[in-house]
Amino acid sequence: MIAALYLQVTARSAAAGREIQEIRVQIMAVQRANADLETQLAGLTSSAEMQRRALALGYRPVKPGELDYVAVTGFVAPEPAILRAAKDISQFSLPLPPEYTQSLIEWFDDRIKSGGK
Amino acid sequence: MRQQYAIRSLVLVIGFVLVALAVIAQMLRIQNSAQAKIFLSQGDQYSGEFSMFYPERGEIYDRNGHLLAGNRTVYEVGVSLSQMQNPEALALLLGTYLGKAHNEIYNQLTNSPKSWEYIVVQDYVGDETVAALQKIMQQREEADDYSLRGLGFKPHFQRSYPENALASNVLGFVTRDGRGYFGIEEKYNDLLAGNPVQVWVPTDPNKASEIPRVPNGTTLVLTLNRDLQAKVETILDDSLSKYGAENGAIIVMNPNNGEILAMATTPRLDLNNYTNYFELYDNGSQYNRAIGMAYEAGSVVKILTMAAALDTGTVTPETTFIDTGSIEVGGITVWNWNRQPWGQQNMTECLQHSLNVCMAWISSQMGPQTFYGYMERFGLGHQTGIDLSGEALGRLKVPGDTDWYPVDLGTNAFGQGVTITPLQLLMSASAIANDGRMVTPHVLYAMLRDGHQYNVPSQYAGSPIKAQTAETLNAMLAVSLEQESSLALLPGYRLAGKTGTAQIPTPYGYSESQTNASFIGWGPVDDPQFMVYVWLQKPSASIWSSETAAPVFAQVAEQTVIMLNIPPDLVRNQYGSR
Repeated sequence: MIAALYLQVTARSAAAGREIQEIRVQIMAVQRANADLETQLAGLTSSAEMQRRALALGYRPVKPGELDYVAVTGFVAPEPAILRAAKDISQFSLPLPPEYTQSLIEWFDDRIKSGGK
Repeated sequence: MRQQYAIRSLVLVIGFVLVALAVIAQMLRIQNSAQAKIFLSQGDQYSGEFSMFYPERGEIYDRNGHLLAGNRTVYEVGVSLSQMQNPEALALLLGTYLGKAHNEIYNQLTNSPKSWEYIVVQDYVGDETVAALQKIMQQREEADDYSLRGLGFKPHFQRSYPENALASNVLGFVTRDGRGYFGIEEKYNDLLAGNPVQVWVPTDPNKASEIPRVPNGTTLVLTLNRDLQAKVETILDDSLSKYGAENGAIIVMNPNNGEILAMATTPRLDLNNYTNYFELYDNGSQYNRAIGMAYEAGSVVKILTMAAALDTGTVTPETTFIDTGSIEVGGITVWNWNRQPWGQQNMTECLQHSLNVCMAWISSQMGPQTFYGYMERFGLGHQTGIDLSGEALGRLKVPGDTDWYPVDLGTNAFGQGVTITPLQLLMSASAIANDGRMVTPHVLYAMLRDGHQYNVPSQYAGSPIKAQTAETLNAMLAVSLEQESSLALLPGYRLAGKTGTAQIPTPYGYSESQTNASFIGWGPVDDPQFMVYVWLQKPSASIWSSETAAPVFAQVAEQTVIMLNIPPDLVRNQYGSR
């Protein structure tokens, strides 16, 4: 019975370990894909590219005399997205749950201390 | 009979025990033998590996969130020698796709030392090439052809610049060894690069543990306005072509806080092909002329001389001076730019007509101690402290230096014999545009790390002149610009500014035919929100700044008011009065 229990725990531990390895690889792949997409998007919206597309659509640069200015009381120009996003990045850095880090003994100890709750 | 069974059973038990003991003894012998240590160490080699986790290099954005420097995935293409089956097929395929000689790859694969497990054939291979190679591998394996077995691809990041050459002089670049050179990339290399972490990664899933999080390098947000930068670069390129200048620089700065909004220089490097560096530049100081090259700027320095004279009370705007066309300073005669007398002039007219003789007279009236004291306070001969690498010092000779002569008091007053960078003069003049307070120019707006934003506060570099002096000189420069340099004017906006045409020093004296044309200006005069410095090197269409640098200033000012949403004075004052 002990052997069966030990085998079961070991098997689950091995499966969890393999899952960690796979997730780690996935995280790195997603990070790379994210960086690639950001750079790709920046290339597609680069200054030269936007200017080329605007001219192709028939737009031309504005002259100072052609502008109308309107004063809007209380208007504050919005911050760029990169600065707005900075406040939310921390939610993506949560630590691993205890199931992935606790040993069997630590789990027993934890359960005993918490009264089996 | 029963006894016989008992004896047999005993013999069997003893036999089994002996065999078991022999097995245990053999196990102990093997485990403690000399070979055991070798086997154990061999086993340890495959139980995991030390992996270095390099953080993704921090990105660089402009003030409006446009990506200026990011990262993209490239691949290290290599071959696992223990798995390799057909080096000929691998060499043929890789030679075709990687542009390398077939023989070179074949020799690499077949003649490597026995102890080598893995060979890197080529690094920094783009994802299109790798995708094509992976497709071929897959097709062959589906056809039970394993001749490409052993071929592997390890992804990693490479710096990428989506805007190519835009603001290359400010950004700098990162080489393949991950080190930043020039500009922001060098100045903030440690912050951008982050800290790599070395971790033991076990292959046994039972021993898998959490890898410590490797925070990315710090992301930087610059004060640059990408669209204004692009416009200013276009204007600079067009003006070099129009006026036949060799090179040039244009800076746009906010005089209230020192934020650099645009900084264009020539030539510019396509940062995605930084290996062309040596084809474009002879030395590092040429990479960003706006901060790296000190030169004799000429008459633009006159605004500092006048500021000092007004601040000390040596002159007032109404003070008159009889210009005879020349003046003797330190035993040497100093002439006007046209060698003509201009008669009675007040101080505004001295600036308006850019009279060297008048300025030499003013500095002589102040005396060397006062004059050079003010020039020191304006920061001449010192670095501005801008957060870009490669800033030049400039040179201000002062009494006591072995190469200082009494005549320098006169010539320095109109910008001859003193070398400055465009940024240095912009910083000095910020005191005039900013109520006497001189700002420290900077390009870093904010840093982003671990979800937190750190804004870079503006810094002031002292108050060389009084606010009242700044106000007076502002008005004088606006009047002199309106009456003299019409090509620098922008309809609807009152601007202040000064031209500077400086002969270029040679080993045989000053060149008569080649000049540095400069212009410094700012606006709107009643509430300066931008300062512009223009420098054209050796314009051939005209040697005069008023005909070359001044119209370039007007073009830059026009684009700046559009990009920064600065309404014309009339509109602004209407809204302001409500």
